Amino acid sequence: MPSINLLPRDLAPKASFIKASGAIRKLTTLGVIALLVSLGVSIGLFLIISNRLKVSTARKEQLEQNIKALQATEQKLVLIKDRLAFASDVLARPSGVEEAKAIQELVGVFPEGVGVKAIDIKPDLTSASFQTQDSLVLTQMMATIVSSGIYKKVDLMGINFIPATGFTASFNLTN
Amino acid sequence: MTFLGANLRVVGGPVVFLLILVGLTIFVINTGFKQISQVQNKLTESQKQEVVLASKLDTLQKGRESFENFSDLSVIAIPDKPPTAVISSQLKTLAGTGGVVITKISGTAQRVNDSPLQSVEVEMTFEGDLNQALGYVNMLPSTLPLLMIEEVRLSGQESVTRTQMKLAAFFAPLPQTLPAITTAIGDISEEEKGLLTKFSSYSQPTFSSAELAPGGPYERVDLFNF
Repeated sequence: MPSINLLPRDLAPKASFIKASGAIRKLTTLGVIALLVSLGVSIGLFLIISNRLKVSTARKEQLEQNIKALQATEQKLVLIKDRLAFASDVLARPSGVEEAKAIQELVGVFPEGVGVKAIDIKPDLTSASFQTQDSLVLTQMMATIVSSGIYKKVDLMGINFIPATGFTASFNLTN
Repeated sequence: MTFLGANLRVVGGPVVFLLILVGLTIFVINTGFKQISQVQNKLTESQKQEVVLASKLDTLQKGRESFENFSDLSVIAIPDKPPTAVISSQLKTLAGTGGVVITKISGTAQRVNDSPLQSVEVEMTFEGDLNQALGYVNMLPSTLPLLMIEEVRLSGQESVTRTQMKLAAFFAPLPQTLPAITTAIGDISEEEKGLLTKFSSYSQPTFSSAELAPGGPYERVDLFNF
């Protein structure tokens, strides 16, 4: 028997609304499925990462224990590094070490008959006075200072002659 | 109105469900992402620390023996207390080797700025011939504790050269704490090894201030029995 709808046609929903409703329902169903899948994936991912974190923390604790057992060795290493940092600082400071070596080298190549009256060594500068009785030796000595190449800069500060003691030549020497 | 009501009834329910779904999805994504990224960050941090700790452990295990030997040498180079006594002993020992006669040694403690590295100024006077005096001066930079030549004044009087010298010796307090266990610590670098090798060839004191122990008084059982 055919069904008879006695309601007026105006009261029934429009076909386009029924179609839209069906589309929204399908979209909602797909959305729910997608949500459940992503929820599952997220929970899985969370558990995997948490497990890895647990393993990593355990390994870290083991390493920390092993390092604590070697604390005395660590102290020594820290001490060495601390002391060497200070030592490097000291060695980097200006010192008269090079100047002392240079003047010893210079005195070693002086001609016979030259005496040292005074030497004043400071970092970066050496002031020295040398004595000789002979003017020829004085010339040789001055030539030696210049030609030895030990000093980059040689300043003759003065020459004195006193008959009793001979010639005294004063220099500022810079290497 | 009735027309609108029928249409709304058809579409309203699914739209409400869709809106709830969208809200739920936003909530789940927001919360889930936060949780996962937090755990991931913790894992990354933990793995980084693991690498640092493994490297530190390896350094400590491999260098165990050399650190034992070098730590003493480094403390001799820069002691923790004013090394005046050790320096005086060193200067006297070297004077014997260098053939000069020391006539005066004095030491004053002084601080270098705000740095923990402090210095002792040592003034000394010695006599010997010129070559001996210069030889002696040049021995000092190869001596431990480390010395710095600040000024040397040589004055010649015939065969005897009188030398006045200002030196600086250094000391610094020892480190009080170890760095955090997760702090990376590198092995001794090539530059540091070079310094240690150089120091091991330097003239070292026969005693250090750390080894000094009181020589008495000792307990006497019978006070009247000397």
